[in-house]
Amino acid sequence: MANTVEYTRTAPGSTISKIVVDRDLCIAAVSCMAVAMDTYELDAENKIVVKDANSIDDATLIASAESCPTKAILLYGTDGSLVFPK
Amino acid sequence: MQSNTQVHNICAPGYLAVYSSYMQSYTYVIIGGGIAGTTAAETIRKTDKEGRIAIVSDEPHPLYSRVLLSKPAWVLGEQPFDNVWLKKEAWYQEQAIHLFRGLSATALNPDSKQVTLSDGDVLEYKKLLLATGAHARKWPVKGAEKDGVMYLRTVDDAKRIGTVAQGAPKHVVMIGSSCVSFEIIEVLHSRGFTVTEVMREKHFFEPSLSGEEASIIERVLDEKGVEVIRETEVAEVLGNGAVEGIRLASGREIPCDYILAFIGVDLPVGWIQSAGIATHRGIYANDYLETNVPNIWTAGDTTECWDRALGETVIMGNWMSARLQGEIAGKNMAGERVPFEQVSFHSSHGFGNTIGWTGDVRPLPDRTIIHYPTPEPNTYCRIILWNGRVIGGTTVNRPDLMGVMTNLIKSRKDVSGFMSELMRGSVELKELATK
Repeated sequence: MANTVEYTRTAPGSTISKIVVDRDLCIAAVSCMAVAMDTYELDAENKIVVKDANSIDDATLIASAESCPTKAILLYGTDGSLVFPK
Repeated sequence: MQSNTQVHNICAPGYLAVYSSYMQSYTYVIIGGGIAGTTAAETIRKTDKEGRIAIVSDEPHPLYSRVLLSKPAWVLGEQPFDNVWLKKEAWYQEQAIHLFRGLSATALNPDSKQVTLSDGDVLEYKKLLLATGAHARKWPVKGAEKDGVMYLRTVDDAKRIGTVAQGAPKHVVMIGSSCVSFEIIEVLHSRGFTVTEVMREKHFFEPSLSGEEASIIERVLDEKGVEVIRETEVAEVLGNGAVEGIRLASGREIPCDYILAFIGVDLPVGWIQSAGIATHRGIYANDYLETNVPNIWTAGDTTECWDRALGETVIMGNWMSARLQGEIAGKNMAGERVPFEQVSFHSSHGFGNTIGWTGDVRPLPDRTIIHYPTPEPNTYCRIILWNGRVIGGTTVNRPDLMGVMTNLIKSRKDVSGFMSELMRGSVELKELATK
Protein backbone atom coordinates (compact mmCIF):
# COMPACT_ATOMS: atom_id res chain seq x y z
CA MET A 1 0.00 0.00 0.00
CA ALA A 2 1.18 3.43 -0.81
CA ASN A 3 2.36 5.46 2.13
CA THR A 4 0.02 8.40 1.63
CA VAL A 5 -1.32 11.17 3.83
CA GLU A 6 -4.55 12.96 3.01
CA TYR A 7 -5.37 16.57 3.77
CA THR A 8 -8.87 18.00 3.49
CA ARG A 9 -9.27 21.31 1.72
CA THR A 10 -12.23 23.51 2.58
CA ALA A 11 -11.27 26.81 0.91
CA PRO A 12 -14.46 28.63 -0.14
CA GLY A 13 -15.16 28.39 -3.86
CA SER A 14 -12.44 25.79 -4.45
CA THR A 15 -13.12 22.82 -6.70
CA ILE A 16 -10.35 20.84 -4.97
CA SER A 17 -11.32 19.12 -1.73
CA LYS A 18 -8.38 16.85 -0.99
CA ILE A 19 -4.58 16.97 -1.21
CA VAL A 20 -2.77 13.65 -1.00
CA VAL A 21 0.99 13.39 -0.44
CA ASP A 22 2.63 10.09 -1.38
CA ARG A 23 5.48 9.93 1.12
CA ASP A 24 7.22 7.09 -0.72
CA LEU A 25 7.48 9.22 -3.82
CA CYS A 26 8.46 12.46 -2.07
CA ILE A 27 12.21 13.12 -2.41
CA ALA A 28 12.16 16.56 -0.76
CA ALA A 29 13.01 18.34 -3.99
CA VAL A 30 10.95 21.14 -2.39
CA SER A 31 9.71 22.54 -5.70
CA CYS A 32 6.16 22.53 -4.30
CA MET A 33 7.34 24.74 -1.46
CA ALA A 34 8.77 27.16 -3.97
CA VAL A 35 5.38 27.51 -5.63
CA ALA A 36 3.29 27.45 -2.44
CA MET A 37 5.42 28.38 0.55
CA ASP A 38 2.44 28.75 2.88
CA THR A 39 0.96 25.37 1.99
CA TYR A 40 3.82 22.92 2.47
CA GLU A 41 6.72 22.31 4.81
CA LEU A 42 9.24 19.53 5.38
CA ASP A 43 8.86 17.32 8.40
CA ALA A 44 11.56 15.62 10.46
CA GLU A 45 11.75 12.73 7.96
CA ASN A 46 12.36 15.19 5.12
CA LYS A 47 8.99 14.56 3.59
CA ILE A 48 6.53 17.20 2.50
CA VAL A 49 3.55 17.79 4.75
CA VAL A 50 0.66 20.16 4.18
CA LYS A 51 0.58 22.79 6.89
CA ASP A 52 -2.33 24.80 5.49
CA ALA A 53 -4.47 23.20 2.78
CA ASN A 54 -6.50 26.39 2.30
CA SER A 55 -3.74 28.97 1.97
CA ILE A 56 -3.76 29.32 -1.83
CA ASP A 57 -6.08 29.41 -4.81
CA ASP A 58 -6.77 26.38 -7.00
CA ALA A 59 -4.49 27.47 -9.85
CA THR A 60 -1.50 27.88 -7.52
CA LEU A 61 -2.27 24.58 -5.80
CA ILE A 62 -2.35 22.77 -9.14
CA ALA A 63 0.88 24.51 -10.16
CA SER A 64 2.52 23.30 -6.94
CA ALA A 65 1.51 19.70 -7.68
CA GLU A 66 2.63 20.03 -11.30
CA SER A 67 6.02 21.27 -10.16
CA CYS A 68 6.80 18.03 -8.30
CA PRO A 69 9.44 16.03 -10.20
CA THR A 70 8.10 12.73 -8.82
CA LYS A 71 4.34 13.37 -8.94
CA ALA A 72 4.12 12.89 -5.19
CA ILE A 73 1.21 15.33 -4.80
CA LEU A 74 -2.27 14.26 -5.90
CA LEU A 75 -5.28 16.55 -5.99
CA TYR A 76 -8.90 15.43 -5.88
CA GLY A 77 -11.95 17.45 -6.87
CA THR A 78 -15.05 18.06 -4.79
CA ASP A 79 -16.75 15.35 -6.88
CA GLY A 80 -14.05 12.86 -5.88
CA SER A 81 -12.34 12.81 -9.30
CA LEU A 82 -8.58 13.01 -9.69
CA VAL A 83 -7.68 16.56 -10.76
CA PHE A 84 -3.91 15.99 -10.88
CA PRO A 85 -2.03 14.04 -12.18
CA LYS A 86 -4.10 13.00 -15.16
CA MET B 1 3.00 4.38 -29.42
CA GLN B 2 4.89 6.71 -31.71
CA SER B 3 7.99 5.58 -33.48
CA ASN B 4 11.14 7.41 -34.41
CA THR B 5 10.26 7.13 -38.05
CA GLN B 6 8.90 10.33 -39.50
CA VAL B 7 6.16 9.92 -42.07
CA HIS B 8 6.35 12.79 -44.50
CA ASN B 9 3.07 13.72 -46.10
CA ILE B 10 4.06 15.57 -49.23
CA CYS B 11 0.47 16.72 -49.66
CA ALA B 12 0.43 18.35 -46.22
CA PRO B 13 0.20 22.14 -45.97
CA GLY B 14 3.60 23.70 -45.56
CA TYR B 15 5.40 20.95 -47.40
CA LEU B 16 8.11 22.14 -49.72
CA ALA B 17 10.69 19.96 -51.37
CA VAL B 18 14.18 21.25 -50.61
CA TYR B 19 16.34 18.78 -52.48
CA SER B 20 16.35 15.66 -50.30
CA SER B 21 14.99 17.28 -47.13
CA TYR B 22 11.46 18.13 -46.09
CA MET B 23 9.94 21.24 -44.66
CA GLN B 24 7.10 21.29 -42.22
CA SER B 25 5.46 24.39 -40.82
CA TYR B 26 4.58 24.93 -37.18
CA THR B 27 3.30 27.88 -35.22
CA TYR B 28 5.57 27.00 -32.32
CA VAL B 29 8.79 25.03 -32.53
CA ILE B 30 10.41 24.06 -29.25
CA ILE B 31 13.96 22.73 -29.28
CA GLY B 32 14.33 20.50 -26.24
CA GLY B 33 11.94 17.94 -24.75
CA GLY B 34 12.91 18.33 -21.10
CA ILE B 35 10.94 20.01 -18.34
CA ALA B 36 11.42 23.55 -19.75
CA GLY B 37 10.39 22.70 -23.32
CA THR B 38 7.52 20.41 -22.38
CA THR B 39 6.12 22.85 -19.81
CA ALA B 40 6.27 25.59 -22.45
CA ALA B 41 4.32 23.42 -24.91
CA GLU B 42 1.76 22.54 -22.25
CA THR B 43 1.36 26.20 -21.30
CA ILE B 44 0.99 27.35 -24.90
CA ARG B 45 -1.68 24.73 -25.53
CA LYS B 46 -3.75 26.02 -22.60
CA THR B 47 -4.08 29.34 -24.44
CA ASP B 48 -3.73 28.48 -28.10
CA LYS B 49 -5.89 25.49 -28.98
CA GLU B 50 -5.25 25.69 -32.71
CA GLY B 51 -1.56 26.52 -33.20
CA ARG B 52 0.69 23.73 -34.45
CA ILE B 53 3.26 22.81 -31.79
CA ALA B 54 6.40 20.73 -32.31
CA ILE B 55 8.94 19.62 -29.73
CA VAL B 56 12.32 18.44 -30.97
CA SER B 57 14.06 16.14 -28.49
CA ASP B 58 17.46 14.55 -28.92
CA GLU B 59 16.31 11.70 -26.71
CA PRO B 60 13.88 8.95 -27.78
CA HIS B 61 11.68 9.30 -24.68
CA PRO B 62 8.72 11.36 -23.51
CA LEU B 63 9.30 13.78 -20.62
CA TYR B 64 10.88 12.17 -17.59
CA SER B 65 12.07 13.29 -14.17
CA ARG B 66 15.75 14.09 -14.32
CA VAL B 67 15.64 14.73 -10.57
CA LEU B 68 14.78 11.09 -9.90
CA LEU B 69 17.82 9.75 -11.73
CA SER B 70 20.10 9.90 -8.69
CA LYS B 71 17.58 9.01 -5.99
CA PRO B 72 18.32 5.73 -4.17
CA ALA B 73 14.87 4.10 -4.21
CA TRP B 74 14.53 4.54 -7.96
CA VAL B 75 18.14 3.75 -8.94
CA LEU B 76 18.04 0.54 -6.88
CA GLY B 77 14.73 -0.58 -8.35
CA GLU B 78 12.83 -0.31 -5.06
CA GLN B 79 10.37 1.94 -6.89
CA PRO B 80 8.83 1.04 -10.24
CA PHE B 81 11.07 2.17 -13.09
CA ASP B 82 8.03 3.77 -14.74
CA ASN B 83 7.83 6.34 -11.93
CA VAL B 84 10.39 8.28 -13.95
CA TRP B 85 7.94 9.18 -16.75
CA LEU B 86 6.16 12.50 -16.24
CA LYS B 87 4.22 12.43 -19.52
CA LYS B 88 2.66 9.42 -21.13
CA GLU B 89 2.93 8.76 -24.85
CA ALA B 90 -0.76 9.52 -25.24
CA TRP B 91 -0.39 12.98 -23.71
CA TYR B 92 1.42 14.34 -26.76
CA GLN B 93 -1.32 13.07 -29.04
CA GLU B 94 -4.10 14.38 -26.79
CA GLN B 95 -2.47 17.81 -26.76
CA ALA B 96 -1.74 17.71 -30.50
CA ILE B 97 1.95 18.28 -29.79
CA HIS B 98 4.24 16.61 -32.30
CA LEU B 99 7.31 15.13 -30.61
CA PHE B 100 10.29 14.69 -32.91
CA ARG B 101 12.39 12.09 -31.09
CA GLY B 102 16.05 11.33 -31.27
CA LEU B 103 16.73 14.42 -33.35
CA SER B 104 18.68 17.56 -32.58
CA ALA B 105 18.68 20.97 -34.21
CA THR B 106 21.81 21.64 -36.23
CA ALA B 107 21.18 25.05 -37.77
CA LEU B 108 18.92 28.05 -37.35
CA ASN B 109 18.05 30.75 -39.86
CA PRO B 110 16.15 33.54 -38.08
CA ASP B 111 15.54 35.42 -41.36
CA SER B 112 13.63 32.59 -42.99
CA LYS B 113 12.45 31.31 -39.57
CA GLN B 114 13.70 27.81 -40.19
CA VAL B 115 15.43 25.22 -38.04
CA THR B 116 17.33 22.36 -39.64
CA LEU B 117 17.27 19.02 -37.85
CA SER B 118 19.95 16.37 -37.67
CA ASP B 119 18.13 14.21 -40.24
CA GLY B 120 18.15 17.09 -42.73
CA ASP B 121 14.50 17.99 -42.32
CA VAL B 122 13.57 21.65 -41.91
CA LEU B 123 10.97 23.06 -39.54
CA GLU B 124 9.49 26.45 -40.24
CA TYR B 125 8.30 28.38 -37.19
CA LYS B 126 6.45 31.51 -36.29
CA LYS B 127 7.78 31.40 -32.73
CA LEU B 128 10.78 29.44 -31.50
CA LEU B 129 11.86 28.34 -28.03
CA LEU B 130 15.43 27.30 -27.35
CA ALA B 131 15.25 24.90 -24.40
CA THR B 132 18.11 22.66 -25.38
CA GLY B 133 19.22 21.87 -21.83
CA ALA B 134 22.71 20.90 -20.80
CA HIS B 135 24.77 17.86 -21.73
CA ALA B 136 27.02 15.86 -19.44
CA ARG B 137 30.56 17.17 -19.86
CA LYS B 138 32.86 14.55 -21.34
CA TRP B 139 35.79 13.75 -19.13
CA PRO B 140 38.89 14.95 -20.99
CA VAL B 141 41.31 12.43 -19.53
CA LYS B 142 43.53 9.94 -21.34
CA GLY B 143 41.71 6.62 -21.51
CA ALA B 144 38.28 8.06 -20.66
CA GLU B 145 36.78 6.24 -23.66
CA LYS B 146 37.26 2.84 -21.96
CA ASP B 147 34.30 0.65 -21.06
CA GLY B 148 33.23 1.36 -17.51
CA VAL B 149 33.50 5.16 -17.62
CA MET B 150 29.96 6.36 -17.03
CA TYR B 151 28.11 9.67 -16.99
CA LEU B 152 24.73 10.63 -15.59
CA ARG B 153 22.50 13.00 -17.46
CA THR B 154 19.82 10.97 -19.22
CA VAL B 155 17.45 8.19 -18.18
CA ASP B 156 19.50 5.79 -20.31
CA ASP B 157 22.66 6.79 -18.41
CA ALA B 158 20.77 6.20 -15.15
CA LYS B 159 19.56 2.80 -16.32
CA ARG B 160 23.17 1.70 -16.91
CA ILE B 161 24.23 2.95 -13.47
CA GLY B 162 21.21 1.25 -11.90
CA THR B 163 22.20 -2.06 -13.49
CA VAL B 164 25.70 -1.75 -12.02
CA ALA B 165 24.38 -0.68 -8.61
CA GLN B 166 21.97 -3.60 -8.45
CA GLY B 167 24.73 -6.06 -9.34
CA ALA B 168 27.60 -7.50 -7.32
CA PRO B 169 29.52 -4.93 -5.26
CA LYS B 170 32.54 -3.49 -7.07
CA HIS B 171 35.04 -0.69 -6.61
CA VAL B 172 33.89 2.61 -8.10
CA VAL B 173 35.88 5.81 -8.45
CA MET B 174 33.67 8.88 -8.38
CA ILE B 175 34.99 11.98 -10.17
CA GLY B 176 33.58 15.37 -9.13
CA SER B 177 31.85 16.72 -6.04
CA SER B 178 28.36 17.65 -7.15
CA CYS B 179 24.89 16.82 -5.78
CA VAL B 180 24.70 13.84 -8.12
CA SER B 181 28.08 12.50 -6.91
CA PHE B 182 26.98 12.78 -3.29
CA GLU B 183 23.68 11.01 -3.91
CA ILE B 184 25.11 8.19 -6.02
CA ILE B 185 27.85 7.55 -3.43
CA GLU B 186 25.08 6.74 -0.95
CA VAL B 187 23.36 4.48 -3.49
CA LEU B 188 26.55 2.50 -4.14
CA HIS B 189 27.62 2.38 -0.49
CA SER B 190 24.23 0.97 0.50
CA ARG B 191 24.88 -1.93 -1.90
CA GLY B 192 28.29 -2.72 -0.43
CA PHE B 193 30.40 -1.01 -3.08
CA THR B 194 33.79 0.45 -2.26
CA VAL B 195 33.76 4.08 -3.36
CA THR B 196 36.72 6.40 -3.79
CA GLU B 197 35.87 10.05 -4.36
CA VAL B 198 38.36 12.11 -6.40
CA MET B 199 37.85 15.84 -6.73
CA ARG B 200 39.69 18.91 -7.96
CA GLU B 201 38.07 20.98 -5.26
CA LYS B 202 39.22 21.51 -1.67
CA HIS B 203 35.98 20.03 -0.34
CA PHE B 204 32.58 18.71 -1.37
CA PHE B 205 30.31 21.25 -3.11
CA GLU B 206 33.01 23.94 -3.34
CA PRO B 207 32.33 26.82 -3.95
CA SER B 208 28.62 26.62 -3.19
CA LEU B 209 29.24 25.36 0.36
CA SER B 210 31.88 26.51 2.82
CA GLY B 211 34.53 24.18 4.17
CA GLU B 212 32.76 24.17 7.56
CA GLU B 213 29.48 23.08 5.98
CA ALA B 214 31.13 20.45 3.80
CA SER B 215 32.96 19.02 6.81
CA ILE B 216 29.62 17.80 8.18
CA ILE B 217 29.10 15.80 4.98
CA GLU B 218 32.68 14.65 4.65
CA ARG B 219 32.76 13.41 8.24
CA VAL B 220 29.88 11.08 7.38
CA LEU B 221 31.66 9.89 4.24
CA ASP B 222 34.76 9.18 6.31
CA GLU B 223 32.71 7.19 8.84
CA LYS B 224 31.23 5.15 5.99
CA GLY B 225 34.67 4.29 4.65
CA VAL B 226 34.51 6.48 1.55
CA GLU B 227 38.00 7.79 0.82
CA VAL B 228 37.89 11.41 -0.35
CA ILE B 229 40.91 12.54 -2.37
CA ARG B 230 40.87 16.33 -2.69
CA GLU B 231 42.59 18.86 -4.99
CA THR B 232 43.64 16.09 -7.32
CA GLU B 233 43.71 15.56 -11.08
CA VAL B 234 43.46 12.17 -12.74
CA ALA B 235 46.31 11.60 -15.20
CA GLU B 236 45.04 8.47 -16.93
CA VAL B 237 42.42 5.75 -16.94
CA LEU B 238 44.13 2.36 -16.78
CA GLY B 239 43.03 -0.84 -18.50
CA ASN B 240 42.88 -2.59 -21.84
CA GLY B 241 39.53 -1.72 -23.33
CA ALA B 242 37.76 -1.83 -19.97
CA VAL B 243 38.51 0.24 -16.90
CA GLU B 244 40.95 -1.38 -14.48
CA GLY B 245 41.93 1.68 -12.47
CA ILE B 246 43.14 5.25 -12.52
CA ARG B 247 46.50 6.93 -12.15
CA LEU B 248 46.42 10.23 -10.30
CA ALA B 249 48.66 13.15 -11.21
CA SER B 250 50.64 12.29 -8.07
CA GLY B 251 51.44 8.90 -9.59
CA ARG B 252 49.26 6.94 -7.17
CA GLU B 253 47.30 4.19 -8.86
CA ILE B 254 43.84 3.13 -7.67
CA PRO B 255 42.37 -0.10 -9.03
CA CYS B 256 38.65 0.09 -9.82
CA ASP B 257 35.92 -1.49 -11.94
CA TYR B 258 33.93 1.60 -12.86
CA ILE B 259 34.44 5.34 -13.00
CA LEU B 260 31.51 7.70 -12.64
CA ALA B 261 32.56 11.05 -14.11
CA PHE B 262 30.15 13.69 -12.88
CA ILE B 263 32.14 16.78 -13.73
CA GLY B 264 29.46 19.23 -14.71
CA VAL B 265 27.65 20.11 -17.88
CA ASP B 266 28.27 21.72 -21.24
CA LEU B 267 25.77 24.00 -22.91
CA PRO B 268 25.37 22.98 -26.55
CA VAL B 269 24.93 26.43 -28.05
CA GLY B 270 27.32 26.42 -31.05
CA TRP B 271 24.57 26.27 -33.69
CA ILE B 272 22.65 28.92 -31.77
CA GLN B 273 25.63 31.29 -31.69
CA SER B 274 26.13 30.78 -35.44
CA ALA B 275 22.60 32.07 -36.00
CA GLY B 276 23.39 35.38 -34.33
CA ILE B 277 21.75 34.66 -30.98
CA ALA B 278 23.66 36.49 -28.25
CA THR B 279 25.31 34.14 -25.77
CA HIS B 280 27.70 34.46 -22.87
CA ARG B 281 27.89 31.50 -20.50
CA GLY B 282 24.37 30.62 -21.68
CA ILE B 283 21.83 32.06 -24.11
CA TYR B 284 21.22 35.68 -23.20
CA ALA B 285 17.63 36.66 -22.46
CA ASN B 286 15.83 39.56 -20.88
CA ASP B 287 13.48 38.98 -17.95
CA TYR B 288 10.73 38.02 -20.39
CA LEU B 289 13.01 35.23 -21.62
CA GLU B 290 13.27 36.86 -25.04
CA THR B 291 16.59 36.48 -26.85
CA ASN B 292 18.10 39.32 -28.88
CA VAL B 293 16.35 37.96 -32.01
CA PRO B 294 12.61 38.62 -32.45
CA ASN B 295 10.25 35.65 -32.03
CA ILE B 296 12.91 33.53 -30.30
CA TRP B 297 12.70 32.77 -26.57
CA THR B 298 14.84 30.63 -24.31
CA ALA B 299 14.16 28.59 -21.15
CA GLY B 300 15.90 26.06 -18.95
CA ASP B 301 19.49 25.21 -18.16
CA THR B 302 20.96 27.03 -21.17
CA THR B 303 19.24 30.30 -20.30
CA GLU B 304 21.21 33.22 -18.93
CA CYS B 305 18.49 35.71 -18.16
CA TRP B 306 18.22 39.08 -16.55
CA ASP B 307 17.58 38.92 -12.82
CA ARG B 308 15.65 41.97 -11.70
CA ALA B 309 16.62 41.56 -8.05
CA LEU B 310 20.35 41.24 -8.70
CA GLY B 311 20.61 43.55 -11.70
CA GLU B 312 22.67 41.06 -13.70
CA THR B 313 22.22 37.98 -15.87
CA VAL B 314 22.22 34.58 -14.17
CA ILE B 315 22.03 30.92 -15.14
CA MET B 316 19.74 29.01 -12.79
CA GLY B 317 20.50 25.43 -13.84
CA ASN B 318 17.98 23.54 -11.74
CA TRP B 319 14.72 21.70 -12.26
CA MET B 320 12.49 24.18 -10.49
CA SER B 321 13.75 27.17 -12.46
CA ALA B 322 13.64 25.27 -15.75
CA ARG B 323 9.99 24.39 -15.14
CA LEU B 324 9.01 27.95 -14.28
CA GLN B 325 10.99 29.40 -17.18
CA GLY B 326 9.19 26.98 -19.50
CA GLU B 327 5.87 28.17 -18.14
CA ILE B 328 6.76 31.86 -18.46
CA ALA B 329 8.22 31.44 -21.95
CA GLY B 330 5.12 29.49 -22.99
CA LYS B 331 2.84 32.26 -21.74
CA ASN B 332 4.85 34.93 -23.51
CA MET B 333 5.00 32.95 -26.76
CA ALA B 334 1.22 32.61 -26.60
CA GLY B 335 0.78 36.37 -26.35
CA GLU B 336 1.09 37.32 -22.69
CA ARG B 337 3.89 39.45 -21.29
CA VAL B 338 5.00 38.01 -17.98
CA PRO B 339 8.44 38.50 -16.42
CA PHE B 340 10.44 35.61 -14.97
CA GLU B 341 11.12 36.25 -11.30
CA GLN B 342 12.06 33.51 -8.89
CA VAL B 343 13.93 32.83 -5.72
CA SER B 344 15.44 29.59 -6.86
CA PHE B 345 16.22 26.77 -4.49
CA HIS B 346 17.36 23.19 -4.65
CA SER B 347 18.52 20.50 -2.29
CA SER B 348 20.63 17.37 -2.11
CA HIS B 349 20.28 14.37 0.17
CA GLY B 350 22.63 11.63 1.28
CA PHE B 351 23.39 9.49 4.32
CA GLY B 352 20.57 11.20 6.23
CA ASN B 353 21.83 14.70 5.52
CA THR B 354 19.93 17.41 3.67
CA ILE B 355 21.75 20.30 2.07
CA GLY B 356 19.79 23.26 0.79
CA TRP B 357 20.72 26.16 -1.46
CA THR B 358 18.35 29.12 -1.61
CA GLY B 359 18.62 32.10 -3.96
CA ASP B 360 22.00 33.27 -5.25
CA VAL B 361 24.73 31.48 -3.32
CA ARG B 362 27.73 32.45 -5.44
CA PRO B 363 30.50 33.65 -3.10
CA LEU B 364 31.42 36.68 -5.22
CA PRO B 365 33.81 39.36 -3.90
CA ASP B 366 31.05 41.90 -3.30
CA ARG B 367 29.01 39.53 -1.12
CA THR B 368 28.99 39.50 2.66
CA ILE B 369 28.65 36.00 4.08
CA ILE B 370 27.41 35.48 7.63
CA HIS B 371 27.40 32.28 9.63
CA TYR B 372 24.01 32.26 11.33
CA PRO B 373 24.46 29.98 14.36
CA THR B 374 22.16 26.98 14.68
CA PRO B 375 22.11 25.13 18.01
CA GLU B 376 21.56 21.57 16.75
CA PRO B 377 24.59 19.33 16.12
CA ASN B 378 25.57 18.73 12.48
CA THR B 379 23.65 21.74 11.26
CA TYR B 380 24.86 24.92 9.60
CA CYS B 381 23.40 28.02 8.04
CA ARG B 382 25.03 30.77 6.01
CA ILE B 383 23.35 33.96 4.88
CA ILE B 384 24.64 35.74 1.79
CA LEU B 385 24.10 39.48 1.57
CA TRP B 386 24.59 42.00 -1.20
CA ASN B 387 24.11 45.74 -0.68
CA GLY B 388 22.60 45.03 2.73
CA ARG B 389 19.96 42.65 1.38
CA VAL B 390 19.76 38.90 1.81
CA ILE B 391 20.11 37.36 -1.67
CA GLY B 392 20.92 33.76 -0.80
CA GLY B 393 21.61 31.20 1.84
CA THR B 394 22.86 27.67 2.42
CA THR B 395 21.71 25.21 5.03
CA VAL B 396 22.92 21.83 6.24
CA ASN B 397 20.28 19.75 7.99
CA ARG B 398 18.00 22.75 8.52
CA PRO B 399 15.65 22.50 5.52
CA ASP B 400 13.04 24.44 7.48
CA LEU B 401 15.20 27.55 7.09
CA MET B 402 15.00 27.39 3.29
CA GLY B 403 11.45 28.67 3.21
CA VAL B 404 12.27 31.35 5.76
CA MET B 405 15.26 32.39 3.66
CA THR B 406 13.09 32.59 0.55
CA ASN B 407 10.71 34.99 2.28
CA LEU B 408 13.63 37.07 3.48
CA ILE B 409 15.08 37.28 -0.04
CA LYS B 410 11.68 38.19 -1.49
CA SER B 411 11.21 40.93 1.09
CA ARG B 412 14.31 42.74 -0.27
CA LYS B 413 14.66 44.19 3.19
CA ASP B 414 17.84 46.02 4.12
CA VAL B 415 19.12 43.98 7.07
CA SER B 416 22.44 45.78 7.45
CA GLY B 417 21.24 47.11 10.81
CA PHE B 418 20.97 43.56 12.16
CA MET B 419 24.41 42.22 11.31
CA SER B 420 25.57 41.57 14.86
CA GLU B 421 22.23 39.95 15.78
CA LEU B 422 22.50 37.68 12.74
CA MET B 423 26.06 36.68 13.62
CA ARG B 424 25.02 35.91 17.20
CA GLY B 425 21.83 34.17 16.07
CA SER B 426 19.90 36.38 18.45
CA VAL B 427 17.28 37.32 15.87
CA GLU B 428 14.86 34.83 14.35
CA LEU B 429 15.20 34.80 10.54
CA LYS B 430 11.44 34.34 10.34
CA GLU B 431 10.90 37.62 12.14
CA LEU B 432 13.58 39.56 10.34
CA ALA B 433 11.56 39.95 7.15
CA THR B 434 8.88 41.81 9.09
CA LYS B 435 11.09 43.84 11.44
